[in-house]
Amino acid sequence: MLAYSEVEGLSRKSGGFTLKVRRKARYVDEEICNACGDCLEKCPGRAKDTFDMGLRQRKAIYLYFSQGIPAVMTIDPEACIYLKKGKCGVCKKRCDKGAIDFEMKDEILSLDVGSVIIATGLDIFEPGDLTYYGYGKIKNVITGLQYERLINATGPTGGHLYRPSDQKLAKTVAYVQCVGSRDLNYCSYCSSVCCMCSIKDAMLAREHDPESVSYIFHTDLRNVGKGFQKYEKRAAEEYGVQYVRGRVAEIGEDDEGNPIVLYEDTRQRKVESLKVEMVVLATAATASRGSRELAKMLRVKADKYGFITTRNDQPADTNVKGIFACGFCKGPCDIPEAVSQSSAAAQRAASHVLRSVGAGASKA
Amino acid sequence: MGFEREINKTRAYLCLECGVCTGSCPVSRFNPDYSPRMVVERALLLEEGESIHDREIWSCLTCGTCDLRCPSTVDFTGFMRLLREKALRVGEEGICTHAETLSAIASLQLLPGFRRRASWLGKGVKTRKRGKVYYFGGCLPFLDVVFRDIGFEGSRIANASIRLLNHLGIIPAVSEYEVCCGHDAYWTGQTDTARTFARKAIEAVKATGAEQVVFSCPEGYRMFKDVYPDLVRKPGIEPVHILTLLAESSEKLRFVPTPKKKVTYQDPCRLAKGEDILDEPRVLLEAVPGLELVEMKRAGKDSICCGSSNWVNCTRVNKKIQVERLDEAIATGADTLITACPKCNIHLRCALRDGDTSGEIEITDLITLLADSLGGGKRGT
Amino acid sequence: MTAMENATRDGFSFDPGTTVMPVKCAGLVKVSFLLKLFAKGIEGVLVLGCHEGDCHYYNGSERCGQIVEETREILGLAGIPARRLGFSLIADSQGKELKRAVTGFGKQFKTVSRKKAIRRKSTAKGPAKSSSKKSTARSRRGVRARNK
Repeated sequence: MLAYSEVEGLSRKSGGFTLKVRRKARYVDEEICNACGDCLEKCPGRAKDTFDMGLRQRKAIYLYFSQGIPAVMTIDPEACIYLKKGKCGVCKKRCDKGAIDFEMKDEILSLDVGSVIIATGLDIFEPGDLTYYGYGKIKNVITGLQYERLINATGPTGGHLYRPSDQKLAKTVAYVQCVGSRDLNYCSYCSSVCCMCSIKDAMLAREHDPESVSYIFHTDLRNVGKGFQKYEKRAAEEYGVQYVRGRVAEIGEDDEGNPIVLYEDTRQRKVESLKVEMVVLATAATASRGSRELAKMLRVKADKYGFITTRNDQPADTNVKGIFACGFCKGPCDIPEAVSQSSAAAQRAASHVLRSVGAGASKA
Repeated sequence: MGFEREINKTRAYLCLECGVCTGSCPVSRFNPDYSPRMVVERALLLEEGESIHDREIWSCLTCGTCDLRCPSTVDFTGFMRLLREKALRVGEEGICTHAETLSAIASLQLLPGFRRRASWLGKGVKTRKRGKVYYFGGCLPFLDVVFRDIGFEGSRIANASIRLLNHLGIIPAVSEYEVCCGHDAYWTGQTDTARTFARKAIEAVKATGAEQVVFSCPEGYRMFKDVYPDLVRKPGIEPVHILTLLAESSEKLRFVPTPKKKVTYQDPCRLAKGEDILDEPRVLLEAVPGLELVEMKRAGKDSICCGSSNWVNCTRVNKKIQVERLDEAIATGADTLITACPKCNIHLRCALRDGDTSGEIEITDLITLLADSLGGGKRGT
Repeated sequence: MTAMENATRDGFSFDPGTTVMPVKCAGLVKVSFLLKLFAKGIEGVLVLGCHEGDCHYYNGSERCGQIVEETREILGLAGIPARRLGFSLIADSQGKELKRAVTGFGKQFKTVSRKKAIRRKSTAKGPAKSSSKKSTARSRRGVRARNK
């Protein structure tokens, strides 16, 4: 398994492909490191924690996230003082296993493979373009993924909804749906997972704090899976989640940093404003950054949003024989769907490889 | 006669009825009877009579906030315009402000043999009869007369523009045959009148041999740039807003320090929402030593309309919008509110005079301010 | 209004190209109203009001003077000579004065004896005869005959 690596090229050869893969230098020996964390203690380098969606800082040497595989440390060359200035090396002194290796270089691997499965997943739409939602300007307007980190026990607040502006516990939270999705100016498609995700988030908030009140502002709730409607209803009945029909028009801020949501309640046909303590933007999910370049490299068709196009009759097959795709890289889908798609892709890949091996064997 | 044409032209069929338009609308916030979403929805339901005879179709400010935010890219303001056109055709009348003085001024310009007098041109500003660059003053000198009581000086803006152009080494042409750009006629649904204006305006500018036409008024600029090509034909002359021109050659402008002042800037809808002229005014304000720019809570593309437009419908609701905007400006702690559109200037001045705001603020035009800050400048006329 | 009656009693008759438009008070005449007349292609407008100080509404005549000034300014910018908008203040009894004003103003236009119309409206306060005269703005318009 090659984590922390990037595909840089692909060439066709008989019976399969040759992949050029850049294995980026971690500056930590994967074989030796056991992620004990001794190196972390004294590291003076700082960077934004990308896994925590920038909600806190991490050290220059870091474990991307606690359940990650392989569980090894990585040094961020942009933040590491030794790698930038040649002085420091505290982590090296701290590591009694001798796993740190500042001399490590990127490796280019050439892999002969019979088949390729693309499963690059998703990235999140940057809501900064929608200036009227104030993301980046109003501190207590956060994205759904940032919320996930806040509510997570391993997250920066230990699972409490301490809002970014003043670390006060946010009791009323507004969830704004369709931020960038179903918007012809940005992502015209429905991201399909955000409705359920926001309902789940709202329920979690109530579980963490019985006084929590949640409002979900939606265009329409697109909960189309099995049992999803029931879930939506349960959230309203048992968790007090309030659904408001109407896309939020604007988010302002009062002097205490409370966001003020301005919207039309389309059921009442009334323009209303609501003061809340935090706003969670259900941002559109997009194909992962770089998916266009990857598609170009693999000569696989992708649509204008960078989603890999697959065949209608064989949903795991791309236009290139032997290259398959599954999950969000080919379009919005939820986890169960992604899992079943990946099974399908794995099966298609296996049968492709077996067939070409068989063909090769019979030729020889 | 249904609404097919209007719906198709403005992509209203894409409406999701999500409510972003109405939620964003500065009018809907104060006037529960007006809702862009409902207007479109009614049209989609083919409730024709109701929409056309509804006086609320004259409430739209055509500021374009809804257009910008609509996830389905429905052209709401265009829809309103077409509704107005239709309403006029069935004999409805628009609700004009200032007893139609402004539209009367415009129609004077359609008289055969119309020739305006350049008596507004101040001493020391250089203009010519023919030239590559034309300066389009539009209705500024006329507005001067009508709004003198609230201290609005339109001719000063026009003279300041020419002075700034002179400073850049440009001697612009002006013409006696220039007519109204037709902006207000266009947006109040008088498309045919607007077309006549468009033809005459293009003709007058072309007759001077101009290749570029400079505007100080956002509305004229928008008309020339975006509306004329559809309405009549491509003018064949490059429209450019003076702020763009100035910002591009800001290194040539020598501003003298002005007394220390905190200023805030009101984005005109036609520039900010329609044309993305957002940075230029800010760059220029920063270039004047002594000025400190503070932004209002809602600025740039999210700024609020000055509350009234096209000289239609000035009601309590419009006043409330204006007072809200002025209060926002006052809350920034700025001494001066800078506007770049003569109409914002007029409307905000008017609301300020009524005294319902939370405090006082001075209102100044950006172009006048820039011209007055020029080094070695002769002060305005 | 009384002045007009006085004038007509003396045998004065308006040029057939003239339309008389009585208003309650000369101070009620609006800039837009005057401009619209010109925009319609009318050649001249004469605004008549009560003598200064005679105004039933205190300052109608002065107000009217301002309005005329403003309108003249706008007309000037639009290239229409200010003299085409006349303004006189005439007292009730001055029938002759009115005659002089109207004929004098009319001289600048060559359109006499063309297709003309007279419109007339009575003053608001009908019954009282003498002092009820609010003020009259009479418009003299030479209608441009297009097909001549």
